[in-house]
Amino acid sequence: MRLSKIAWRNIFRNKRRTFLSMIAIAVASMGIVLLFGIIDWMKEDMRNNLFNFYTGQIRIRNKKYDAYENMSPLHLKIDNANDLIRDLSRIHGIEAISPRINFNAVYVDSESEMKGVYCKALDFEREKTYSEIQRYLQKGRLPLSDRKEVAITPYLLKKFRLKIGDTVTLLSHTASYGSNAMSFKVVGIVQFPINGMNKALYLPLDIAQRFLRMRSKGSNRFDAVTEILIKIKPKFKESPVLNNIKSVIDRGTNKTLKAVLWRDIKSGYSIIRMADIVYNIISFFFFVLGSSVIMNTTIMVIYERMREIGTMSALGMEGSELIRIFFLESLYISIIGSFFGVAIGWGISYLLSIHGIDMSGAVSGISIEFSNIYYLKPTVKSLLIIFCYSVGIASLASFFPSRKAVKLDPVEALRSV
Amino acid sequence: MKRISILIIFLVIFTPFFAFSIDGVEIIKRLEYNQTFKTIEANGKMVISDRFGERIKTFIVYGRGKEETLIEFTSIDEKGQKILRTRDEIYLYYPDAEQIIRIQGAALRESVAGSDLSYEDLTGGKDFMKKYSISFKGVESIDSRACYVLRLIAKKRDVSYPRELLWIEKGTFSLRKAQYFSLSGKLIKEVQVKKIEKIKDHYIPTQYIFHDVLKRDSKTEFFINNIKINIPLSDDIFSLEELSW
Repeated sequence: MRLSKIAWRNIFRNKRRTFLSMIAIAVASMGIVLLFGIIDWMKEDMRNNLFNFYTGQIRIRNKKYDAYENMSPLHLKIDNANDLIRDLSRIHGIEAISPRINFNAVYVDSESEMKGVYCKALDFEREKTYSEIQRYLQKGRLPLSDRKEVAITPYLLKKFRLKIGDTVTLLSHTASYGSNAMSFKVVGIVQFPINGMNKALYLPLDIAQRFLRMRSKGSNRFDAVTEILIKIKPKFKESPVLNNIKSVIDRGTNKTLKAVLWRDIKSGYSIIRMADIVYNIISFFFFVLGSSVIMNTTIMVIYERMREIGTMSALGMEGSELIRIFFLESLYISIIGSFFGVAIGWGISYLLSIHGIDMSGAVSGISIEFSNIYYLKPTVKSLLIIFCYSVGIASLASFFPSRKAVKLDPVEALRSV
Repeated sequence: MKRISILIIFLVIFTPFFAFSIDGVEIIKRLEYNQTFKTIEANGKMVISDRFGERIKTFIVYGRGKEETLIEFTSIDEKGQKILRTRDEIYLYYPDAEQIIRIQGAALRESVAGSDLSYEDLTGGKDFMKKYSISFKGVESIDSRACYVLRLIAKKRDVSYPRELLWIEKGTFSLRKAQYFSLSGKLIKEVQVKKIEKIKDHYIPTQYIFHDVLKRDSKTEFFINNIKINIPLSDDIFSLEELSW
């Protein structure tokens, strides 16, 4: 009889044992699938959030802006931003452009009490394609251009005790380092996936340009911004697009600007890099844990069958044949176990990739760069790797104890319990 | 003869003491007279210089008595903005805001139009004698002009600066230099007067530099012109109700 047939028949001889080892392998494989799903999602989510809300893939700012960023230096601006955006949009490979003004202001209540608030001025029409901002609108509508309107987050709504339709007065420094105050109507509630964004107030770019006196140098137009974020189309490489952007900047009159890739922005890249290291460490430990479960199960099964090995040896079966039988048994069990583990893991991941796990309660108040609702994102590549790994590790784990077992004297092996 | 000699020695030794001792309170009274008008109207210009460059703001200032002031900005970026100081409060009016903002608490330390002057500096009344203990420190020369040096220590805590040093020019009793200190003695602000004009019988600083020591490489130079004093001014100018008009 062929060894493969004997091995296949053997796995049904003790169904309970086989079932338990399959479950152990399946649970370990499923755990690894779920962990990889969440880690793959976290990496992609962090990258998306970074591109959408913080650095873009390429960011244009005044060369000196970063050094004074904590002072909200509105005077270190990008003049004639509309002209620059028009030139940039002609570059091949650019998917979306988002001009923005980030600034600190104070919210003045009816009793003239003042509370600091971080504000973001956005071109909401552009943001619909850049960050899909309409997805984050909870109630009301997004502010319209040329109207003194703001969108507010639930956090600020509660902090300032406001509701849709109320008026907020903001007082801020201006680009000419004077001060100005303006009143805005609350028209919408927005909730972003990351906490950092939920502490800001959002107003239309053109109104903010007037409010903050973002006058372009040498003109009377209020069309300056503090930064322009750029996203690149998926199949395009970043460096050539960056070089084209630099050429556009060099051809222009404003020589104070600097375009940088997200990887060269210290804060952005270090977050991704650190997250990568942390995730890899977590993955490694979970892999070790999963592997130890699989190996432990396989080794236990072989040591439990010492008497059987002794009998087979006494009946004249060669050592190498014995090793092959146990290897094949482990292979069959691990293929079935891993298949079901990976399949169940994929099923759960698929459900969670649609519905997500709401972690907003657990992470409230913590400023982290990934979304409050965790979605799993299992990739085919990960599923295949995990399946092959689980099968491989279980099969290999059978090799060493079975090799040790066949070296035993059959009489000794028969004596073992 | 002996009596005369003793008298001469006495006069030589003690004349400076008598000359100075009159003065702490008297000098301040004369300074306050120079700084207080029934009414005043003037045009002004602030040249603000810091590490980011130079900016100019222009304004019209109206004053009445010791405690009422209205500053209305006329420079392009601040046009229409007003600061009203009444007896107890400071109010800000911005044309784009639906409410008038009362400045209070920590906001008083904010800069006025990005200058070295804070709202708190506008609150300081001219009643030095009520708020400070005044002591005479001697005579020093500032820009080749003899000045009395006075040290002021606050009697109460409700003042902008707990300690001040003032250099007041002999003869005109106008301020030539001032240094403002925290309670711990740290220098916070400094004023240097560059030009004084006599208008009617008041000596008024028309060009002076304000320097916030806590701001790096920063100074604000004030130029005051078209000064008219003791002219009729409408009550509406200093009225909170009329501020937004």
